[in-house]
Amino acid sequence: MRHALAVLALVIVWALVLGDAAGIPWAAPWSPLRSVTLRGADFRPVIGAAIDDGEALGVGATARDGNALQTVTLERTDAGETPILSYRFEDFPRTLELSLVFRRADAPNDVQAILLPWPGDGVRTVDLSTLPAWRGGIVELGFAEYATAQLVSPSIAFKPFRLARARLASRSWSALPGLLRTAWLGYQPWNLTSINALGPSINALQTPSLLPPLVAVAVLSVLVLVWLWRWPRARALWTGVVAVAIAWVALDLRWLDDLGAKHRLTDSIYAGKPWPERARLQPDEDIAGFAQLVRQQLGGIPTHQRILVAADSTYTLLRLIYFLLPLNAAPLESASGAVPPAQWPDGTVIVLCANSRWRFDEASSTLRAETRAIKVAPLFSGGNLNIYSTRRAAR
Amino acid sequence: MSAAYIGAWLLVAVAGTAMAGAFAAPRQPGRWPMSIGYGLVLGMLATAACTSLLARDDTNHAWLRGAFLLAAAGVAGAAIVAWRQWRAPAAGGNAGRSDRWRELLAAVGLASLVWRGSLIGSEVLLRPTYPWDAWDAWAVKSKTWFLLGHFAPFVAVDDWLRQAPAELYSGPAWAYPSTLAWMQVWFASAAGGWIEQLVNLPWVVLWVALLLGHYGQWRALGLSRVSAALFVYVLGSLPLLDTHAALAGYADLWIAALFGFALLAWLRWQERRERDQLLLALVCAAVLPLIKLEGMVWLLCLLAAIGFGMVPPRWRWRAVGAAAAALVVIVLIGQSQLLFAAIGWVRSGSHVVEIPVIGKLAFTWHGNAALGLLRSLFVQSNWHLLWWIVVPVVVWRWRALRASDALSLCALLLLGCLVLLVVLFVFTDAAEWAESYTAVNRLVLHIVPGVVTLLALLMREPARLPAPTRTAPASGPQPDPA
Repeated sequence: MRHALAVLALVIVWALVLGDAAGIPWAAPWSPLRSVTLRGADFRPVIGAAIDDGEALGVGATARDGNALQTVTLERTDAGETPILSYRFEDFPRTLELSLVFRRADAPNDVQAILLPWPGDGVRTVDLSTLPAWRGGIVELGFAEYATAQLVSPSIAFKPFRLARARLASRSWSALPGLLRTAWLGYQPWNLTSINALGPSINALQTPSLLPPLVAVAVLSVLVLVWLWRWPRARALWTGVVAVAIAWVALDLRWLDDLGAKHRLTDSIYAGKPWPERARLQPDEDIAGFAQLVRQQLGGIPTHQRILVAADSTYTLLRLIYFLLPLNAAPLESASGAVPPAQWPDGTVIVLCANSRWRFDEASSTLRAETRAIKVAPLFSGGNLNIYSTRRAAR
Repeated sequence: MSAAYIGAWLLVAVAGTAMAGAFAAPRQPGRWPMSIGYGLVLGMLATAACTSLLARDDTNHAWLRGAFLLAAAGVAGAAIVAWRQWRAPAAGGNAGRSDRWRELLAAVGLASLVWRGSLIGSEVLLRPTYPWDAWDAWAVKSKTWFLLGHFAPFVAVDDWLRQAPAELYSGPAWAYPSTLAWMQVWFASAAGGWIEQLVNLPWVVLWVALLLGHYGQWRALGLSRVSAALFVYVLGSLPLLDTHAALAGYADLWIAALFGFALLAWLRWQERRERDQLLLALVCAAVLPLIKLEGMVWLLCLLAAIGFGMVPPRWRWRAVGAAAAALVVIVLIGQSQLLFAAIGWVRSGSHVVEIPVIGKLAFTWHGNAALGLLRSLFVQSNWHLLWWIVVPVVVWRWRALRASDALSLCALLLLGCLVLLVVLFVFTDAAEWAESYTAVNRLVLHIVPGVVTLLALLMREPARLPAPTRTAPASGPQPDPA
């Protein structure tokens, strides 16, 4: 009897904690009261190319910029009533990321997009109710795919895959395993903030964290057993130690699985390639290309020659400076703040890359940004890259 | 991977192990893992010294130019090891016996570390330099010097612009210490080119060395082989620690390793009065500010703890009281200045302290930063259950903590470091780093090996507690070098 009571108590404890972690209300039914099921074949390619493949949609190509998008028009689905999204893809490459894209009836011209957990081969389930934009009537829903940001070069990212199906549903207990599996066991690729903190993600979808529920389950389970079975203090203590050890190993297995998945992406890109090829396969191949172009345009520029670089994105700016090494480059903004341009060395080179702040005034041969002005002579102009040289005589 | 690159690594490993071995008492449990772990770190840092001293004008051949000096240091270390080994009497070991199931657990834990190490190593050998500061800050000098073929100073941007004809460089991280940059130049020269994967391999070796060094010192401090192996698993399984090895290029793992090594060596001095270990602790601590500017703060904390430990116990709290009173006077007076020999003038004003290493700190409560800090420690996947178990273990083993002067001092030091971090992130403008999670975990990482050491020593079996004054028997079981 006491054993049965203990099992029952543990089931209740686990259900309470896990249900709370997944945001399932106690009063929720076992199965969803409302749902909208979408076959892959219901979606239409908006960017890239795709064909019907039975019930699914076979996505065979991206647009030139490496992106693909498939959408479906909906009969004004109420976002608040159907916040649980499940989706299933087949052969989805590890090199791509997936975003959910949708439009609301109250703002049909605004496209909302949110990064989704990598779909892999199984069904993934997320709760969209934490998104401020997920409200009102949804009139269009879709999925966008693109090279994994900061990790994969767009030129090698795409491989064909199939969009099998998607479903929007109201909250129910049957969604619990899917929600927790996606949040806790899903693969998260490396990103530039991984060195600072490891999930759950702070910027995208607010997925439930694993740690506090695991601790709560472990502590409450031990307390329940100690209470029901009247364990002495020493036994309770060692049970606690064993519970911590099991929880630690579980967390570590989950981390090892994620580390292995992260590494499989790295392996799929770089393995078996010689060093120069690995160096060339930069995720930001466009910036590496800009650096190559700057080198070509500047020819055999001596290394004491100062180069000042500006770009709208700090990442682009600093990455370009790194790619240019050992050319002698520094950020234009910090230079113009530290020393008036009139005191710069004659012939200082200015490189503007994907920049909208500094404008070249052809009539006066001047670069301007707000109140600042620098007399320059253009050396090269092409696309997102412009190169100038300061001219002392012109000041 | 060329023969030269492999040769450079062999030199680092052998010379470093010999140098570290000179600090290890012969016939002590764990002396080999400790010597190899500490040795790999010291060896890699020695390459920086050799390169900066001997290869400034020819960085492309840095390893050849510095090899002789490193080899000489290794030979000197080996001579000291041999001399001490010859003089040392046989000592009893503490290999002890373990339960079969604990041995099995330890073996599984170590197997998981080997598997994870292979993943980390492969990750580093495949991917070019990835994390932001690795290429924006830490590899800029090394890449510049190696590709130039010689050293060129890095200066502030105004000096850079005003001294145009000179071959000066600038950048956001121009003032960062150059130790890791010099080390990278050594390995680039051995690799025969700027091959980022090979330049970053020291981070993987550092991860291995960190674990080996801790294992060896835990053994020397009285943990059984199985307990030490289990805590090595605990340390090596921490996700953010693994991440700093897999995404190589940041300085924080070096600070964590050196702080942890300094703490362990100091604990051996505290428990066993091994003077070599005190010297080793000071060496490891002294290198901290040469790796990263924040290392100066940890150096000062360690020096304060070492000094505090040297004061007779009955005078300690009076010394703390006097120091606290002085601090209160300084704050009350306001606008006062204190000269610290190592870091320059520290100025305090109303709600503001200006420290040269850190900058100006204005004191205000930042609630979101406190939440960010708590999330970093207790919610995110950075540390497994480490921060959840620290307080329960300390409470559980409170008597062991109170009974050991060394452990009390260790706990006090770590508590002080943690308080510093909390003050920094919750009460100053650095709060934004905690809210955005950009630096909070990396600074916490610095003390994490120390925290694991505290937990490991608190969980020592009572029979294994050290007896520093006990004379070793002339005969008995031979020690277990592992």
